[in-house]
Amino acid sequence: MIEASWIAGLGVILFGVGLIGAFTRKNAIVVLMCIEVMLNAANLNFVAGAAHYGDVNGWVFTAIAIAIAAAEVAIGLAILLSLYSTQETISLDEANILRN
Amino acid sequence: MRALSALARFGVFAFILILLSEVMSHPMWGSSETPPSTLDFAVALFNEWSMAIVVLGLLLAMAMIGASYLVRDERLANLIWDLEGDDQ
Repeated sequence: MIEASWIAGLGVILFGVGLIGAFTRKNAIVVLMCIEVMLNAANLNFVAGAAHYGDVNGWVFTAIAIAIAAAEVAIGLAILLSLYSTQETISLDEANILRN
Repeated sequence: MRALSALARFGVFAFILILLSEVMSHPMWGSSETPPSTLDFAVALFNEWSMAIVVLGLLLAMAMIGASYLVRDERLANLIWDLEGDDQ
């Protein structure tokens, strides 16, 4: 069985990849994907902790976080579609106003 | 500006390395216990976390309704029902 510390390390690496992507990319969809990668890294740490300590609450937190991530993706993609229909771009540099 | 950007990237990379070493060498990963079973997971979901699951379902429903409202198509051609029927 893989040690929980290695799983946590993988979670940190995934979080770093998502952090760098969210900070450096300009495409809104890519930024949304990077935020999802960061969220899944946190989920990985929850699962590793739950398996290590024998506590089922980490799994419950992960299930709730996955459901919230699904809602976030639905809203995020809808916002991006609405943004594209009004601004005709999803570049985060050009879409810098909140009014339509 | 580019120097500041390079400095920020170096800072984020150093932060990740420090976080990685601190997380992996933390003493909390010492002794492990028996991992929970899926039965424990199901029991926890339907007993202690049942209200949270209901609230989560409401949140998902609101998200779906909000998303479909955001992407609605208000063009007139899509709002008129085809009342004439098919010829077949």
